[in-house]
Amino acid sequence: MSPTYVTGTSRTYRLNLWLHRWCSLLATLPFLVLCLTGTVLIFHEEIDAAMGVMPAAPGLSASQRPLAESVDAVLAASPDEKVIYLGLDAEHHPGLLLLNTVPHGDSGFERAKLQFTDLATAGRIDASAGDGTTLTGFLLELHAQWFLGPFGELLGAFFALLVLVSLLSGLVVYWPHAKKVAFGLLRRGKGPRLRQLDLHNTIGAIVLGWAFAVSLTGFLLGFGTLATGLWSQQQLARVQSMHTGAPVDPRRPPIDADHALASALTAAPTGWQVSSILWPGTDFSTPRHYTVLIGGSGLDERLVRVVLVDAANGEVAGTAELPWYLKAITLSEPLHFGDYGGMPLKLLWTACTWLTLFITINGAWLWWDRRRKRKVKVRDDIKEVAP
Amino acid sequence: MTGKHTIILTTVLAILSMLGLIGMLVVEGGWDLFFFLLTILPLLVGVIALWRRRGVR
Repeated sequence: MSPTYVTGTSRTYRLNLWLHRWCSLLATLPFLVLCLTGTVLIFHEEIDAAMGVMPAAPGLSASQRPLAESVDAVLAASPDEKVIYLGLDAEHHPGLLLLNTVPHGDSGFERAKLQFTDLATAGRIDASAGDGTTLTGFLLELHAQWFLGPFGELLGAFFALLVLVSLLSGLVVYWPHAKKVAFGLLRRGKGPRLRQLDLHNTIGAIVLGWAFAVSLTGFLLGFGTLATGLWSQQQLARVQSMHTGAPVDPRRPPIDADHALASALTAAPTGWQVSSILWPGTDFSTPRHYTVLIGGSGLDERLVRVVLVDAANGEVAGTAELPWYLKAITLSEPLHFGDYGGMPLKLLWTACTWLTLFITINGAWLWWDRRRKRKVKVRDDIKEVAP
Repeated sequence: MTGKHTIILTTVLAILSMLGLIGMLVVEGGWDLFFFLLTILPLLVGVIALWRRRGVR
């Protein structure tokens, strides 16, 4: 670091001060919304359970009915719809089968309805999540998409980028301050401005790592829809060109979900489980293939692999790992929402969220206060000079 | 502690905190507490620093 750099007047310093100031100010209001909604979303599991959004998990049972019976039960209850997705989550919803149904002509998830069945009995379970309007769902749409769909996600990535630039430039701007004021010192008796500045710098230094991780993952998540679309287009186009054949009836494929699951497991490493099955004829499968997602334990649970199962004969048509950019986005989700370490991590997430929000607001106050004082000074100078 | 040491401390704490976050996600089993402590290290150091300098003007 050059001596001129730390004087606080170098070009580098001034550039970083400008970036820190304006990126932070531009991000203040969106960041307020993100912090408020994010705090609620940290506890989405507890809130959903308390509001009866998700049915109580029946628990794992020794005997389990075939998945096809659950699919039949759902189709019987929704004759104008078809199943496009089936999810198994023994960790968070033991004994519960999650199914998405859509109207016949749909291939995407925009109008998907979430339904549940008990794996032990294959009977349907009613829950308020089915209609898609839940408090946490509403807040997630605001937090992740600003009610603007994929464009909103990119907007969110832009806000995250502003915060990232603000954090990095903040570290550079902190350097001259750190030369004069010891870490953790809140100067007293020297006015509210210096006290707020010390608070801003100390808390900023404390939450820097957390804020950087959450902003970086937020930035990556902003490209989630775009990256998934790109991957499904590239990968599926390749598979479709390799495996030609007549499409199957997407409502009643010749091979049922149990057969597709068993076929996918033959292509999986030992100990891996099926987490999701996408029906033929969706945006993420071919008109002839089930797309089955398999995962292992630990990191492999999140970095799923894709197995394509021919819905006409049950043969495995191919397996694929997620591309690097989807792996990065997949791993970003837990690191952004902090829902992988139990209640202690959720409480830490909440504390860091509010501390970061505090320094954002007090930073805006510091800017406003300096501006106000400058204006007063200019006015006084004019009065002195005036005859 | 001022100047270069503060910046180094801040940067090291931030990196350790991020390693803790990633460690909790990636590593299974008995390492959770260790990585959680790494994650909250900046908070602990910050609170201790604030406490030690609470009376200084």
